[in-house]
Amino acid sequence: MKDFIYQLALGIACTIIAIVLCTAFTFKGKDLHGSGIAIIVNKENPINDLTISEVKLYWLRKIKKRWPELNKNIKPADRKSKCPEQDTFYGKVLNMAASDVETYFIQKQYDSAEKPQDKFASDAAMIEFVASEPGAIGYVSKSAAATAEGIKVVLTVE
Amino acid sequence: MRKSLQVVVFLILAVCSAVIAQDTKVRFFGQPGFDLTENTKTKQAGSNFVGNNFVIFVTSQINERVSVLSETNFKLNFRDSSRSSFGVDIERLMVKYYVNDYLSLRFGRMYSPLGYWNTQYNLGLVLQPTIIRPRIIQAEHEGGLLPTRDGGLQIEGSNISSLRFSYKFLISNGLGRYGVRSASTNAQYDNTRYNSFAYTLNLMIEPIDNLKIFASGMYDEIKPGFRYRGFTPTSTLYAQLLNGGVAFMGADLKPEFIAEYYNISTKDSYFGNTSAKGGYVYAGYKLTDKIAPYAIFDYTDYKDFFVSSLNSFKLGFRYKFDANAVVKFEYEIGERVFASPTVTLVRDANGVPVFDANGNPQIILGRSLTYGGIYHGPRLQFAFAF
Repeated sequence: MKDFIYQLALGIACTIIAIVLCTAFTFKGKDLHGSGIAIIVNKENPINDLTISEVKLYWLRKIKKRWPELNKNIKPADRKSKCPEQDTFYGKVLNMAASDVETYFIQKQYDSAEKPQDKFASDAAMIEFVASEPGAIGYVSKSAAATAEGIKVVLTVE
Repeated sequence: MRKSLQVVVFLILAVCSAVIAQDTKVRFFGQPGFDLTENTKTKQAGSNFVGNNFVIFVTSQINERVSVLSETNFKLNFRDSSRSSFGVDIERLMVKYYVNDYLSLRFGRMYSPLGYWNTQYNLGLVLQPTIIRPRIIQAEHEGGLLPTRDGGLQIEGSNISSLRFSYKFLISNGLGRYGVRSASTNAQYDNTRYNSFAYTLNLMIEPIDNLKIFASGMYDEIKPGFRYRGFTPTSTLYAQLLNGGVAFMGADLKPEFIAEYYNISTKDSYFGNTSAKGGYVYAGYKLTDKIAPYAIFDYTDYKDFFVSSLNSFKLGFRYKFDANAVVKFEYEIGERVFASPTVTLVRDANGVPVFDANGNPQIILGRSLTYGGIYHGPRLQFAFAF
């Protein structure tokens, strides 16, 4: 019993030291910079307005995997790399870190062969995708959405 | 030969799916690790490079409703001194047909819908919260008791009603799958050269987001001549598995919690009624986007099955570089109890063995327990995906 307690204490001590060391090098302020974005869907989609929580549920395909009235798969569109639009979308709509979003889609793909989100390098590429895919949902800067065709804005986020 | 065939089949399927499918995603998982264990009773220490496997994971969205998935595991066993200890396993190979949110079909080889952990975390250890899975859900082919994967047809549905009820029902080959029986026992049990199916049901509700309450069960019959847990029953063996638990896990959650309990019972004419039970409680907390300390208590009672039982406590942390690279460190302390079968001859008052009507000596089956001592040590793993 004495041995057990000694070894347990040693294990706890080692783990705490390791956590403290790693934490010391990684606590940084979160980057909260972002810009106003528009959540866009294909113009054929009968949905006109969505709340932030609805966008989160649809984009993550959390409850529904198909648009109820459109009868098409929900196809979330994402940016390939970090950008102000993505920061705003992840931070204010999903309330998730970038690595957690990626983990979420890897997990869904791993569990049930669900296709992960499509990724695009620019607002223009994302608009082109959303305009061509009836089930797509994505996000772009408000200025890019204002002049685009084939899409409609269902929510704006500052 | 069999391995070569598996590789060829996999490559053909991978190429075909890439050609046919509109959208094919390929991921690779790897998880090299190291563990150092010391036993305080035997004073033996062991250090090993472990988990040296590499997984190719392919999914294809063939059309709006049909997707395919394959997962192939390439393993290199460093503990085996033989140079040929390289193996290839097709872990999963399945087609999924989506009808609607309440009904989908999976066909092929897949993970059994038992409990929570087994359906969420397997070879892609970058997703798994700990380095190794709890003992109670170790795979049958790795010394555990659960049929963690099986071939069959699964019907499933999710997010039904406001309780977000989901179900999975699998009809599969089960523990006594045909391929396990040897040629010599085939001859002996020629009149029973068939296998009965196993039935697995998993029910879950999610009353609030990410809180999952679930129960699952499996029923199987193992026909005479099929090997199970190292022996070949001479009469039909009935196996039943029951599971229940709760999980509060999500990519967007800071606290993490899973607790599961399993009970596995079998009945046959030789060992009679036996049961194994076990469970685990896992808790973790994401301090930041990158760091999460965690603890897991793991408990198994396998005495009836003559497999070592253990109580184990692990304290560890994960450092997540990003979604595709995670380092985990754990310190484990546990104790083992070994059980072995004993056979005692029934004797009369004069000490003469008693025989039954067929002339067989009457025996009493029992078990002896040996305390295996406390073991402890650190474990490290680097899990990645790309």
